[in-house]
Amino acid sequence: MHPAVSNGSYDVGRVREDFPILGLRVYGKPLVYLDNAASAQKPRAVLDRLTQAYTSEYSNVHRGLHYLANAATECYEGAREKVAGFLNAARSDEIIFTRGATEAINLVAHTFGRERVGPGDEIVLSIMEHHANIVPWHFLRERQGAVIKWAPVDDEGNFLIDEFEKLLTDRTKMVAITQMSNVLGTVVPVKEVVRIAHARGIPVLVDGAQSAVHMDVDVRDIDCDFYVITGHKLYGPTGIGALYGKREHLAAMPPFNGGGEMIREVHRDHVSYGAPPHRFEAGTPPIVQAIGLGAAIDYINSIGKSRIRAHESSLLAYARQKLGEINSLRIIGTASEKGAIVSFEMKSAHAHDFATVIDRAGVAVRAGTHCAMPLLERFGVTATCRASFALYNTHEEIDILAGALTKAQEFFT
Amino acid sequence: MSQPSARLKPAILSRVVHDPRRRSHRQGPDFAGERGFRPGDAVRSLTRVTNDGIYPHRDIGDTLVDGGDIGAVRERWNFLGEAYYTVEFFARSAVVIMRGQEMERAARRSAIRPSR
Repeated sequence: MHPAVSNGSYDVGRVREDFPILGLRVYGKPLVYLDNAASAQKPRAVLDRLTQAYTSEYSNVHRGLHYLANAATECYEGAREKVAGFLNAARSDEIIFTRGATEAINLVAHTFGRERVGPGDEIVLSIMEHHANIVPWHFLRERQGAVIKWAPVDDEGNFLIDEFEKLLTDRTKMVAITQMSNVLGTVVPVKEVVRIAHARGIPVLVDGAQSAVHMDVDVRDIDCDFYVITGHKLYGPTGIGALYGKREHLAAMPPFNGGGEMIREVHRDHVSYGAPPHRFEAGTPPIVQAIGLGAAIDYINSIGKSRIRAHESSLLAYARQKLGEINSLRIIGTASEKGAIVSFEMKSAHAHDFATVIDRAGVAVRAGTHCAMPLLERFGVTATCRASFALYNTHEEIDILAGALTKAQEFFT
Repeated sequence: MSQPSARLKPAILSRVVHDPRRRSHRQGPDFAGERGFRPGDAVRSLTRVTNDGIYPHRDIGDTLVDGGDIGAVRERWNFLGEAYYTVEFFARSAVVIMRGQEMERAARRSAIRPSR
């Protein structure tokens, strides 16, 4: 158990000591990092694990007959076990390492999707999807003649499950849906989505890139066919993510990329492929990144998601209170079930301008479309500012954000 | 002020946060189950509740609610699948958020159901 929570408390100051970058000063001000939905910072436990892997355990993995190859393989496959445990997958061979959630979704779209979807067949997404869970399906629209349908949200950002259900038809071949909007924070009841879709024989991919760091994920309980995560939002390294797929799907799917690692035999006139998960991991995999992801999962588990959630719930409540006191600020996304993400617009200037000005106060937020253009179009805005919170953020940082926005507002009016 | 209708076991009422404005959230479909609380239910803390670190601008260990303090449930709401209660303790002018499962577990242990 992490010392920050060992006595029943949540000592955020102690948590922050684990993140060297949080001690940084920018423009002479303490860094206030509120861009966690884009990417989270890394604890020393992950940084040290990466260094250890490169300095004393590194080699290429699998089929090696020497000490380091075996050590690296053990660590790499150990990381797969950790991811399987994190998602409560039944078996570690249901976990495919990818470069991130984007590649994981592309993998499914280009293999499972392309085999199932033909001209006129329908793919149902939500209007809240990140471009990573839109564009791969657009490829099937462009190349296979598929039709994309969009499940709506109401004006508060609540997912409308009844409307979603109405979209499903005999032509629906796939549902791909986020578990948590990266813009609104809205939580989609994915277990119910899967139940509804499966009742019609429709497979479901769940994009957990935003949710997995905050919510308990149990892919067997959700019963989804595919679930994707990315490491860098989980306090892990960049360049690593994972795809969970039900074993029967993975066993039937053709390969995605071709190369070493993923084959059984290669001849001049034919090739045969290995079994999952290696069938989908062509080439030298992101070995050290996977090991780092495993360390990040260990770190999260040492604190406990339940305690993290309680802390983040307080941050969200406080942020809504403080930002609600700013007259010209409009929060976009007030769903009844949402994560610790606050998107907003200010009346007096563009989101980019506000983000740039408060950056000088050391406050890092993201501004723009957040890779979710259809959603912003739904809400009639071209850009928002987004403050997103993590286990190391504090109420004092929210005070600084609110103060910086108030000053910026005075500057623009 | 109504009489307290449920006893809380403060040792497990450790998740608290000041949140006086959060009043407009929808109530989930599982609102006020058999052991749940409704807005307006009076509660009484059994012992002292201290800041566990997520009550803003107060030190860890600071007393937030004393044993015997009377409060009223303002609302029940959800965050990432977990229920929370916003409870106002009048004498202290304090609005705190408590974990639903802890509140409801306390009610079960005290074997006193919340009144309606």
